[in-house]
Amino acid sequence: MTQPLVEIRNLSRIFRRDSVEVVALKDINLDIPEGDFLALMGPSGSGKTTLLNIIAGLDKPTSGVVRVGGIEVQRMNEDELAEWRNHHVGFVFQTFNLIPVLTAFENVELPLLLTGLSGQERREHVLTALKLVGLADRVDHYPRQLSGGQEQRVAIARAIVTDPTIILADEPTGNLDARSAEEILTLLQQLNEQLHKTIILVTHDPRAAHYAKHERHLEKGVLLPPGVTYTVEERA
Amino acid sequence: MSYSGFVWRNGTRNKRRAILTMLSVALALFVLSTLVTFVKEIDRNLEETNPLRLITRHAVSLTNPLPVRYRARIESIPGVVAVTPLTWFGGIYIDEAHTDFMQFACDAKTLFDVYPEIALPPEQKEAFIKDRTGVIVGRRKAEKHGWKLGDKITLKGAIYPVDLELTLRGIFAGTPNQEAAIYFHREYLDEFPGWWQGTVGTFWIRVDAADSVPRVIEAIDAQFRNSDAPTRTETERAFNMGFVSMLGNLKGLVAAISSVIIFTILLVTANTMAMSVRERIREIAVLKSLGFRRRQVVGLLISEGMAITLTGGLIGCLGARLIWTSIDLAAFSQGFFQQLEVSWRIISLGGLVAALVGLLSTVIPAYHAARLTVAEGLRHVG
Repeated sequence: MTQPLVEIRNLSRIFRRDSVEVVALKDINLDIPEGDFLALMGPSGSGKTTLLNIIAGLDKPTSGVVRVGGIEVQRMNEDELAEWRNHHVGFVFQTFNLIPVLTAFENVELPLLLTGLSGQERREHVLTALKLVGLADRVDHYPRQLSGGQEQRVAIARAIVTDPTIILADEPTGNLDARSAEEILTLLQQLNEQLHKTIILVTHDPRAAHYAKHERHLEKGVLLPPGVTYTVEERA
Repeated sequence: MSYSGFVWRNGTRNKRRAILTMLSVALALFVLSTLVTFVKEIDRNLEETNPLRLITRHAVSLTNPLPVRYRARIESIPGVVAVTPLTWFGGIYIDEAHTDFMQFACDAKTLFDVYPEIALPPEQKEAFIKDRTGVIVGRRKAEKHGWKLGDKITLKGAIYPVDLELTLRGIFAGTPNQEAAIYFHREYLDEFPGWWQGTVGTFWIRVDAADSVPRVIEAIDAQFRNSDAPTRTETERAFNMGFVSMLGNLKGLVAAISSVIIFTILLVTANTMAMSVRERIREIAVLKSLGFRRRQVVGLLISEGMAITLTGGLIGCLGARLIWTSIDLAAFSQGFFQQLEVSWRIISLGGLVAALVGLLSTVIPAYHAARLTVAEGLRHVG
């Protein structure tokens, strides 16, 4: 049996605010095979984003182990994590988070500045990524000159330009209209199916989750068994 | 895209704020470089003085004249090589704007013994000595005013109620300060009846050796201590220092003003940079999520601050150089101040100060922003 790309064992995350303890994640065990497209669902406060952040090394678990590609993420120091993220993780945020003073091309080029690629190589990578997301004709546009859907496409291009091992998308359609959301989800699906990218999609929208191959649900920090969804009242 | 391009665009993303900050720094560095240049210029003037030259003036005030008969008694003091009387005329050439030189009535025969650094061709020197209405001028002033040998130069008296019709007999070379004075015959001034007849403003004395200086000073002043015109004798450097000391502790004052300027601009820039960083906490988190390390983020933010302050600083220093070299300071000061040239060394120093202000004003907000975890940064609402 092949080793899963992401292995999570007995993972817990407890936030402490003054004397109050909030259990964000409780004893999570999860395997995500390479090439999977997993939708993590759950209501607000269920721990979806916290789990995503821990997988990406943006947050540390209180206990437990997270392995991505065989590497224990929680053991790395900050500099190692930064380099690892640059090579292995692509992020897509709900609010796009593009740098407003940079063009689409330059936003996509940003993570490549940290690599040893030459200017010409960077240019080729950026144009390929922008072409993949259908924005080859918008390279010189600034974020303010793009629609929300186009901005998110640029963000996806930025996420894939380093050819990462895993793409983490945190509510990527949360700020988009239905049509743009559908385009973005279709694009993620294509990246998974055609380029075999492993994608974890955090969403509370069941329609968005249908684009994924699998769904797992979180409720109050607990990962529900496969096939079990969180309570109907919450979903409504 | 290069790092420097990224830094510059981030630093100037809020155009109005960036321009106002640059202008604040530019104004501060303009004043700072001007003050430093002013002090340097005074120091340079003092360095040009001759240690073997003494000046004797009235003990009460420079405005009180001395009897011309003192000259023979000063000449008889052992160690004195030459004595020449010099009287500041303070007249007007055409108008105040054209009067960019000082005018002295002198004894033509002995002037060159006391002032050997006045380089004048022998035939011009002879012509000057022979002509009672003759005048010699510095090369730069002759070029500026288009004077040629034989030209008439008329000085309208401001302190002395006489107009002098002088004939240009010699053009000498020297440093800008030496060339800032013109010399004519004392005898010519003395021909006009008035209170000044038989008096001089100062005696300029050349002594034989540095060892003689204290003894000669003491001997001259002792000669006239109980007369109705007691004297005060000092070295040329001390004499010039007397003018500087009229401004008080100039260096202390400049240092205090400079410190206040730098500290104020540091506060202004620190406030600007803190605002700029605070507004971009989410972006900083995004950079870190893309793989930027903490020190790279701190480096980018500090570079932004330094780029803004360095640009402002260079605008201020280069502006000071441009303005002070294009203004005719000599005309403004009637010859007392010949130049105020902000040197490249001072411009480099100004740039360094500006860059340091940028570094110090950004380092704390940059460090705090970079310390936030990506998760905290992404949650930030700014």
